[in-house]
Amino acid sequence: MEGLMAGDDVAVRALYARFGRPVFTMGLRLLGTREAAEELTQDVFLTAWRKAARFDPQRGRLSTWLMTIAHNLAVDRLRRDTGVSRPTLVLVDEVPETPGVDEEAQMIERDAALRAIASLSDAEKRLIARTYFRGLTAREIAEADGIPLGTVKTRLRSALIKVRKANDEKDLR
Amino acid sequence: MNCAKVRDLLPEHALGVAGGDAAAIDRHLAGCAACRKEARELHGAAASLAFALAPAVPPAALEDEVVAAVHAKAGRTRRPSGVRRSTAAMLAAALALVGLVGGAAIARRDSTDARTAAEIRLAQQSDAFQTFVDEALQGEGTVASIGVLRPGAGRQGGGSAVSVVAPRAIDSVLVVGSGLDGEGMPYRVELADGQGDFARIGTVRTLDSGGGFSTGGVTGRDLTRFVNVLVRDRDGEVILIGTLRDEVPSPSPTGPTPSG
Repeated sequence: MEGLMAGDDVAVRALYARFGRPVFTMGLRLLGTREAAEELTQDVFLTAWRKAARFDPQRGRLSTWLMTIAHNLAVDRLRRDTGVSRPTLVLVDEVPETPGVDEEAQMIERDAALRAIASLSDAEKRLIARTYFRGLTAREIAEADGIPLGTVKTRLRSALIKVRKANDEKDLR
Repeated sequence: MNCAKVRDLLPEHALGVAGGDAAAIDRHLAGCAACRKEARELHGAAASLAFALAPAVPPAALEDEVVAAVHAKAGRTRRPSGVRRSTAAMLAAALALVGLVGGAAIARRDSTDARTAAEIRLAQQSDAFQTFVDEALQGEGTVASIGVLRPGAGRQGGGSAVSVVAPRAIDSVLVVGSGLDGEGMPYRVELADGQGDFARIGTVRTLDSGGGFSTGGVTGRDLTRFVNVLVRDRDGEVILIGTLRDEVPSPSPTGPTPSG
C-alpha cells in the first residue's frame, strides 16, 4: 500500500493485475457500456490511491475495500444517470477465457460468489440483484412491491448473513 | 445516529444504497467497535457478490492508462501550494518530532520487528495526515493546529495530534501514538479546554506491533477552545499529553530520523 500511496508503477500494476478485471466487469455490467466501464476503472484506482493511507488490513480484506470503492462509485453513477436504460444483469452466460495466474484467483472468487448466491432463495436473489447490482434502495423496493419497508430490510439482512455464512464455509474448506 | 439506527441501516450501507445516511453511518462506525464489527461482516459479504458477475475483458491499453493517471495524480498532489504548503510544513515538522520521540522509545524495546513496523506506520501517518488535512481544508478561515504528545510521568512513547477547526464545516481531529507499552489498556483519548470541559475523541483497545494507534475523525463539536490533548489509561492516569498550537513546532537539530 505504501507503493500505491507513492503512485509507484509496480504497485499500481500489481493492484491492477489483481483487481482490474473485476472492477472493469462491475463497470460494464452495472453501467452498460465499455466507455463507462473504462472511466469507472480509472476512477476506482485513483480513489484507491487517494484513500490508500486509510486502508487498515485489520479492519477488512483488500478485496472488500477495493470492490466496495468500485461498487459505491458505480451505484452513484447509476443513480445519477436517471433515465438511462439499465443494462441486463449478466451473472452466468459468458465463459471465461483460459485463465492466467491472477485470473485463476478471480475464478475461485467467482465460484465462491456463485455458490453463495445459490444459497439464497429466489426472492432473496431478486432482492440482492435489485439493490447491489441495480442500485435500488430498500424504500424504492418496498414502494414498488407494496410491502412494508421493514420487511425489505429484514430480507436484505437475512440474505447478506446467508452470503457471509457461505463465504465462511468456503474459507474453512 | 445511535447504534440501533445504524444497525438497522447497515445492510443497505453494505449494499451501497444507504444514500444520504452513508456519511452519518461512517461517522458512527469510526467511533463504535461493535457496529464496526457487524459492518465489516456485512460489507465483506456484499463485496464478494461482485465476483459473481460474468467476467469481462478490459482493453489492453487500460492498464497503462490507469497507471499513468495514478502516477500523474501522485506527482501533482505531492507539490502542495498556498495554504496547504504551510500545513504540509507543519505536518512534516510534527512528524519529525513524533519520529524522534517514538523512535527513541521503540529503540529501547530493542526489537527490530517493532522498529520496522513503527517506521512503516510513520510513513503511513505522513500520508494519512496529508490526506486528512487536504480533505478537511475546504474553506477560508480554516485553522489547522498541530500538537506533539509526550509521555506522562513514568510512561514511554510519543505521538502527535492535528485538529482542523473550520467555520463552515465540521471540526475534526486526528491523534496518533507510537512506542506505547499497552499497560492499563484500554486508553481514552480526549481533548480538554483547560476549564473542565472535555471532548471524547476515541478509545484505544489495541496497539500495533510498534505500540502505535490512531484515532479521531469528525467530532460534531466546535473544537475552538479545546487545545489540550490527553491519552489516559483505564485508571485515568496520563499516558500521553500535549497542546495543539497553530504555529510550527521546532524539531530537534538532529533532524527527522525516525529510522533510529
